[in-house]
Amino acid sequence: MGSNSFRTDLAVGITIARGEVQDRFRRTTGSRRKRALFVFLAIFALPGILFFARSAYAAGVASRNGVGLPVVAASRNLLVPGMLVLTAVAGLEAVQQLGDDSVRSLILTSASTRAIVIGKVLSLLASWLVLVGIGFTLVVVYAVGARTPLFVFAIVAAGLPVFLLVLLAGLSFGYLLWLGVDRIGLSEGTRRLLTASLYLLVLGGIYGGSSLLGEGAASGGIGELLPTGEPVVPIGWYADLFFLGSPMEPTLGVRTVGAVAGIFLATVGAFALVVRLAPQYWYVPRDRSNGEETEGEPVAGTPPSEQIGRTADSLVGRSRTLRAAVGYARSGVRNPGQFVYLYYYLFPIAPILAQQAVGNPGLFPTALGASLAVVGVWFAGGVFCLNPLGSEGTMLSQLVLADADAETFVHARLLAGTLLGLVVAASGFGIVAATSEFVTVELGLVGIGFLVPTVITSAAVALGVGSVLPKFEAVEIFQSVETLAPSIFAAVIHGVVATLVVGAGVAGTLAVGAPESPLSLPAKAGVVVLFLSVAWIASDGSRRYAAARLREYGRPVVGTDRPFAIYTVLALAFFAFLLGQAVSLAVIFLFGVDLPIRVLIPVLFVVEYLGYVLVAVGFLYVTRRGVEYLDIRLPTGRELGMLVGGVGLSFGIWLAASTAVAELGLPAADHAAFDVEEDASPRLLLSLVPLMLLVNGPVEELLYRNVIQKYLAERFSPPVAIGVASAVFALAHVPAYFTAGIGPLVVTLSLLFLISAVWGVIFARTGSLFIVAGIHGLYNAILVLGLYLTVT
Amino acid sequence: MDESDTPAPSGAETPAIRADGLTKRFGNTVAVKDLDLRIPQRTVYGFLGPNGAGKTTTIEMLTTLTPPTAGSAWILGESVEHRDRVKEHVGYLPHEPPVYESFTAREQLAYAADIHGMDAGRADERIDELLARVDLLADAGSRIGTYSQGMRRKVGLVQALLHEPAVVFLDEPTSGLDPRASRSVIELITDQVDTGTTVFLSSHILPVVEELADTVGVLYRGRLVAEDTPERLAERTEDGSGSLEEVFLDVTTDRQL
Repeated sequence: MGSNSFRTDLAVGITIARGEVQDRFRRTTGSRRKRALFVFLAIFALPGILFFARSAYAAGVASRNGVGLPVVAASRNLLVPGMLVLTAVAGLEAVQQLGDDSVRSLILTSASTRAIVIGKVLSLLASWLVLVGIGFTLVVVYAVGARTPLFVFAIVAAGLPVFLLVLLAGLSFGYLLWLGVDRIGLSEGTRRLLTASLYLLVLGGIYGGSSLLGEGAASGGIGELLPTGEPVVPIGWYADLFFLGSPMEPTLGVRTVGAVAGIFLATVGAFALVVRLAPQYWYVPRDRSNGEETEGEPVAGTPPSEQIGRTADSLVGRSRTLRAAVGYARSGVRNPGQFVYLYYYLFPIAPILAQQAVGNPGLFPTALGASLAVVGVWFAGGVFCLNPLGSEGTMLSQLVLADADAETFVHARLLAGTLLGLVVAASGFGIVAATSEFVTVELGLVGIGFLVPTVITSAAVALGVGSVLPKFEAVEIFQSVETLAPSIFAAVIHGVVATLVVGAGVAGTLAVGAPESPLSLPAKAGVVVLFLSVAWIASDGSRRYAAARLREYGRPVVGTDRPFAIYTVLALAFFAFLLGQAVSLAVIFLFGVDLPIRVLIPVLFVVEYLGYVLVAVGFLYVTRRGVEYLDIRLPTGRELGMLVGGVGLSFGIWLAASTAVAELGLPAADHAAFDVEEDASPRLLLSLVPLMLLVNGPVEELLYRNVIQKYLAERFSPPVAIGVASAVFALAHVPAYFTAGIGPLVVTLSLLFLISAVWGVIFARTGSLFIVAGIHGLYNAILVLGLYLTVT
Repeated sequence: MDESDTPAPSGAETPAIRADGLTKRFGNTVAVKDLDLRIPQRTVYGFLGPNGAGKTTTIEMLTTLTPPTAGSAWILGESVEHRDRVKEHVGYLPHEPPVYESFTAREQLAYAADIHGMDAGRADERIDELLARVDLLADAGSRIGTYSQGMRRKVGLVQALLHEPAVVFLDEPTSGLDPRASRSVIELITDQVDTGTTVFLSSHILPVVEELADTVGVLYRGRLVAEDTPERLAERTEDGSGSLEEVFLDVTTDRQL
């Protein structure tokens, strides 16, 4: 390596880092879908963030009044274990990133090893800081509450060196581990799996060790040191620096200076170690053939493998889907290294298991079985289904042009994933059943009944998520050869969804199968039907979408089929509801319940409908329909007349229906919100009148008519589009009218459906959002006004 | 515009490949501009051009893998907008051979035959026949992951020809092959044409194009700047030296020929 000065290397390193960060930023925000996803996730995260922000602010204010927390003492002891855990995680991530092809191309430039290391480390640091940014915001909020701005600077100034040390130590650890494993001289595939397993063991070990430490502290052993705040390791005194300028009182002295020197020396040492080790890692020859004709080793047992499926009378022989599934399984078995990214699924589980092993040895086998069951569900999606387009690699063009239709390949993946998931999950569930007296035979059978759809749903949803967020570039994970691993987003989203489905499955199992369950038989049947319906919609929708993506490969707009259109509108209504709730929660956390009810309710009202608007507009953006899709225009005189007529017609129907209901003695439900408001104050009702007119009506018509009905009309005949949109509209009002019970609910929803259908026809005929928005708004406003007048 | 039922001018056969004003834009960049092609059946069309000229993009449009931004194309009278009708006539060897590394050559080809709907017996015959033609029979039981570049390309070529498509698109079929291997590939391609296949091949290797192609088209910056038989093209050099390479270099600069 050259003898460049440190300054030169630093300059070159910064250039490298800047280029990487720019590239990563552009790639992450490259597509519409990713941008929309960011916005969507940000809004969902908002309530949580605001909640923590409020707590941080309150803690800051409280600290001004001298609330004593032994934070400083605890930090001195937590610093080192925290750094160790982060080091292990950093090592994984950093070694993986530092080993990719971009480094190899940098090696051939005039940049020295040191410069490349600086560049890559800085670029990694930048990514991490973005992730840590959210936590840092909380620190700032706390400092604002505590009126100690200096605290923020202390955190940054003290934190950055620690971060850097963790990153460098992690890299050293990663390289040492890898090089050590390399010395043993295993085949590359085995080496990869072994290295990944070692990471897992280390992480579990650290977690288990901390657990032991905690036990020791509780029983007064090592804990004798803790109350005085003396750190177990002298470097722990460094933690005091974090609290400079804060209301908590750090002690600075010789020991702190010593700790700073220690951290500094450790950083320099780690840096030197990384610069020393990196080239050994970078320059190790890979197992690839280098362009000459090489004699490949014939695969043992090839003839039977070639014959799989070729005999027409075997089961596999009769089905091309099965043959394709065998192909995927074969590829997986022969090259297990490509699934190394699955270790990411294991990282949340390993610490929990380690803790159980230490803390609750009796419960450990059950915990292991439960973990295995969950892992099975995750694997059902994560192995064969999570990157259906990307994992075909260069073969994708052949699949697109194949005679076999797209469903063949999608179903093949679904089959392979489901079988794998079932085997693993059922084994885990079996262990739980065997080791826990809680699981009776009946519960076990019900559990299996819920397990199968859970596994299938996980596999199918992975197909869908992986098709929405495909990843085509190869990635090196744990020093493996390029694998077309799924995108992190897709893996995380699938993990979350699969976990939720598992949770629902467990809840369902207990609700239906547990002897103590308070539910009646019809209710239990209802739970089963609900679970299966939601699972079906999610699975069938995902499956259709994945097939459409393959079939329509290359086209900018994916032509999905008609059932999928129905799933889409159901999903739109569902997400509108969810987003509305999320935004409302965010507002509540922001302003607290300090606001008087008469202000809060209207604000929440508006804010919730904001969520609806976001979903509607977001849908138009992602599907490239654009805002022009909305039929917003000022009405003509004739149209205004139709508006008035429409209101009249709506009330006519309402009157007729109310009369019929009264005559027939049918029960009817009241809007849940109105119950609350009646108790609160009549003036609240009055304030809702303009909101009904200007917010509720327009926004609901925007979503249900201008987006949902119009979208359906692209695929279905107008009556069907109107009917489905009205059904969705009615269903969306279930939460609002749920309070009254099944009978009244059905009656009220039927009325809603009818009126909604009328509005749907008006929209279809006039093509004007203004008209139906006006009718809906006026109708609701007049109803509320009527309610106000009857109450006062 | 669907011209699949519009008969070709009387007396003329439907062209294997036809393009009218084929254009592809990526954002502000125009990769292919106003490309017109009329390629008769059972001929070899050689597509030349410098890197970045738009050859791969053109092939992707003709194989329906990318939709054109403007203009239209037809394969044997079927518009490329109807992928399901075009794909049964088409075989494609992309620049990166589309194979699974963990499969053996035989498994890969059996799989390809299967997804193209070939009957198993016929498929096995054809696989053996084609593998023998490209001297890959001996290594057919080894995993493709152990193959060299050239061997991979041979597997890709066989895969493209396996289901006897009427029109075959080959992106650099002889790249990475030594002279002997190159020779056997050239002979294979010629044989396919004799049995009725139309071959659209894109290559940098001028001698191969010269030998194989009935017509050569030169693409430069997205536009077709020259199109003729190799012999007549070669005559167009300024000093009459008659080399395709000269023509290629002349035409792919910003001087007019």
